Amino acid sequence: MPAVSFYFQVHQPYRLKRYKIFDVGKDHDYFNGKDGNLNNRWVLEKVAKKCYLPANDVIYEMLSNHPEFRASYSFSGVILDQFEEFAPEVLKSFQRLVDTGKVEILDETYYHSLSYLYSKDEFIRQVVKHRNRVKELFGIEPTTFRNTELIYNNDIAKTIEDLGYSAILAEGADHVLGWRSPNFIYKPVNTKNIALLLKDYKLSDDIAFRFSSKYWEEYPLDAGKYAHWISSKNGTADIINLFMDYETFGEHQWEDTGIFEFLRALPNEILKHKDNTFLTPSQVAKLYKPVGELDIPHYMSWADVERDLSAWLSNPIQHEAIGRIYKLEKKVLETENRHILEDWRRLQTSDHFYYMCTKWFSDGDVHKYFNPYETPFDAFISFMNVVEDFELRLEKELIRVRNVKKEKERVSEYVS
Amino acid sequence: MFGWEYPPFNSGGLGVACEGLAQALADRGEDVTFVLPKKIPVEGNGIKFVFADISNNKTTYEGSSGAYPATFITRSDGTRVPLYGMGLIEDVLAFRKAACDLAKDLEFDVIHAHDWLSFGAGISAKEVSGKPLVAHIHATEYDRTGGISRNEIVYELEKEGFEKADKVIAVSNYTKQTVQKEYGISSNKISVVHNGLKPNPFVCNERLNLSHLKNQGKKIVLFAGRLTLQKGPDYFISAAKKVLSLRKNILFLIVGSGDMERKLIQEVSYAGLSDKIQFVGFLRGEELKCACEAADLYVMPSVSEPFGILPLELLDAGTPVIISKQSGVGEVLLHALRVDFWDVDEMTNQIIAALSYPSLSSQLRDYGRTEARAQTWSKAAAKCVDIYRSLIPSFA
Repeated sequence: MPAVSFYFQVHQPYRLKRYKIFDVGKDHDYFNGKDGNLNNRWVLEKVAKKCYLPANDVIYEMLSNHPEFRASYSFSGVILDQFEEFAPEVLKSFQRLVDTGKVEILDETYYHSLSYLYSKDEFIRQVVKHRNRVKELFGIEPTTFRNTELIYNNDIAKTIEDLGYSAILAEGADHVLGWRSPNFIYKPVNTKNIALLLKDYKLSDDIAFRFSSKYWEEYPLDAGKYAHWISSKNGTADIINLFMDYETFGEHQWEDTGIFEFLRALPNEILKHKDNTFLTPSQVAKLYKPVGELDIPHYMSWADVERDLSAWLSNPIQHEAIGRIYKLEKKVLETENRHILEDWRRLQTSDHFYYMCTKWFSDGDVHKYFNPYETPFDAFISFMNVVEDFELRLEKELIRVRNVKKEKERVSEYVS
Repeated sequence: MFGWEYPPFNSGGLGVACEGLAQALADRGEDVTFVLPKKIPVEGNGIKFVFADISNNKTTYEGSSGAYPATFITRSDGTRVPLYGMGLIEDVLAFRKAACDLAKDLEFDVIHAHDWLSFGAGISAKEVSGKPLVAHIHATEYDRTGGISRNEIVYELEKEGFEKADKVIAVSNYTKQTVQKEYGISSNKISVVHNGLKPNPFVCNERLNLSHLKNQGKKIVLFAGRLTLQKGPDYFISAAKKVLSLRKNILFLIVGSGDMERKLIQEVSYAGLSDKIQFVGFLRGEELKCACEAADLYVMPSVSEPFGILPLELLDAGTPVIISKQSGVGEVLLHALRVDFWDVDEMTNQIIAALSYPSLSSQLRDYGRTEARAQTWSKAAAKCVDIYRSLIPSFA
C-alpha cells in the first residue's frame, strides 16, 4: 500500500540590488532593490498572490474534505522573515494549515545556505535558529530535516541525527540509487535510527516540471491518470515521496494550466484505491522500517539534471564569491553585532551563487528563467561590490568592539 | 566576389572579413575570383585575384589611420578631404562601370559583393550575366553615423544593393534588424552569417611586450579602434576618468586614430590624466597584437557595431573583454561583460570588477577564448555555400 508523502519547499531569498562600485562605503542597504525582480517586496507580493494564498486555500480545502490528507512544508527562515515584513496574511494562512494538526513543518538552515559545505558550526547555528523560529511561529518542534536544495551525503545524515532528528530528506538520484527504489526508506551508513526519505523524482517532476508541457507525451495530465500511476506501484512501494517547490502551484505552473484543479482533485482520486493513503515524513519514519543501508559519500542535490552541487559551485566566480563570505566567519562572530551578523548570513543564501551559474550557456535555460540579473556576471559583480562594503563595515566595527573591550578591561583593572 | 580592400592593404575590418571568407571558401574547394578596384600585390591560396584597374589617381587610401572607413582621406596632392567627397564616390562609380566588362570575361555562378563600396560592381555583374547577387553587409551608414546626418549617396547605394540583390547577408542579427528597419528590406531576404576569427599564432616578443609597465604592477585597459563617433572612444575616456578616481595603478591605452583624436587628447590633458590615459596612435600587425596581449582588459564601447571582430581577436590573445550591447559580436559570445555604450557608470563598475577579481577575469578569458576560437571562418563559409545553393540549385 503506497503512502503518498507531500513535501513543499517554500523559499524566496533576499535578493541583492544592483549594487555598483560607487555605492561601496556609502550604501549599506543591500536588499532594498527597487526595480522589478530585484524588488523583494514586489516579488513576494506577486508570488503570494499567484501561489501562496490560492494554493493554501486549495490545501486547506483538501484537508477539510479528506480527513486522510496530509502534507508537509519546509520554510526557509528568510521567507518567514519576509512574510512578517511584507505579507503577514500569508503567514497567517500557513498557520491555519498547521493548526489542523495534519501538516508537518520541517527544519532546514535558516538562511537557505550552503553552510554545511563551508562551516559545520555555522550550519548548526542556522539549524538551531530555524528550529526556534518555527517553534515561535507554529508552536511545533520539527523532527524531520531537509538541507538546502536537498544537498545530502552520509556526513550530513550523521550530523542531523546527532542534532536529534528522526528523518532526513534527499533526492532519489539514479546515479546514487542504481537498481534500488526511492519508494522505501533507508538507513544512512553510520547512523542508528534516522530514516532517509528519497524523492520519487519521476512522479514529482511530472507535476513540478512537465505538468503543462505540450511536448510531453502524457499531456494533458489529470488527477485520475496520475492517481493510477500511484496505485500501480501497489505491492512494490511503501511510500511515494512527492517533493517539490511550492511555487509549482500558480507560479511555475500558472493557474490557467489547471494546476489547482489537478491538486484539488488529487486526494479523491488517490483515495479511490483503498490501499493508498497520505503520510507526513515523520509518520513515514515511524511506520516503516528501512529496507537497507545507503552509502552516499558524495554530495547530491535535487538541482538540474546533474543532481549535484554544480548549480552553485561549478565555475570560478561562484567559488571566489562564496569563499570570500565564509572567510569572514570569525571576524563577524567576534563583533557580536546583530546587523553585521544578519547581513553576513543573508549573503550566504544559495540563490546568490545560483544566479552566477554559467552552465546554461551550453545547455539548460532554467537558470536564466530564475535569474533576476541580466547575466551571471552582473550577479557576481553586485555581490562582490556588496562584500567590499560589508568588509569595510566589518573592519570598522571590529576596531570599535576591540576598543570597547580594552576600555572595559582597563576599567575593571582600575576598580579592582 | 567583389571587395574594396584586402589585407595587408586594409584600413579596418572589411578587408579582414573579405580575406577570411574568401580564403575559407577557397579552402573548401570553391573557385573564388576576388575582384578589387585597384591593382595591389595581394595573395591568397587558391584565390584568383582580378583588378578592375580603375584609373583614378586623385586619391590614395592610406594604409593607416585615415583610410576608409575613416571620415577623412588624403588625396595625392596631400590635402585631406571628407571621406564621402567626390574622390571616393567617383571611384565607387568607376568600379561599378568596370565590373560590366569584367563580368563578360569571367566565369562564375554567383556574385558576392561586400558593402556599398562594391555593391554597384555586383549589380553591374548581375545585369550583364543574369547570375544571382548576394549583397553582404558589414557596416551600414547608420552604424557609421549613428543615424545622424547620413550621407544620402551612400545610403542610396546601400539600399539599391539590398533591393537588387537576390539575398542579403548581414554579419549579425543586430545588423539584420538595421537593414530591415532603416532600409525596408524584408526579413526573409536577409540571412545572418557571423564573421569568423582568423587565428593569429604570432607570440609577442620582448621588444614589444610592455613588460616595463606590467612589472610596475600596472593593469592595462585597452581601447582599440578608430577614434570616431561610431566606436565610442569618448565613453571609454569618461569611464577611465571615473575608474581613476576610485583605483590607482591602472593605465588606459588608446590605440587608433581618427577625427576625434585631437579633441580627446585635449580632454585628457585638461583633466591632467595624460600619464594615465595614453594615446598610442594607429597600430597594426605585431605591434597591435602585442598591445592586445599585454592588456588586462579590452573595452569595446561602440555606439553601433555591426559585428566587431576585435573582441574575438583579443580573447584569442588571452585578454578578457567588455563589449557594448549595441554590437553583433555579443550574439556569438557569452563570456563577455556587456554594457550599454552610454552607461559610463556601469562601464566603470565592470572595468573595476574585471580588474579586481581573479575569478572573473580568468573565467572571461579562458571560457571566452574557447568561444572565440569556435567562431571559425569555415563555419561562415559553409553558411554562404548553403545560401549559394538556395539561389542556384545546380551549385555544386
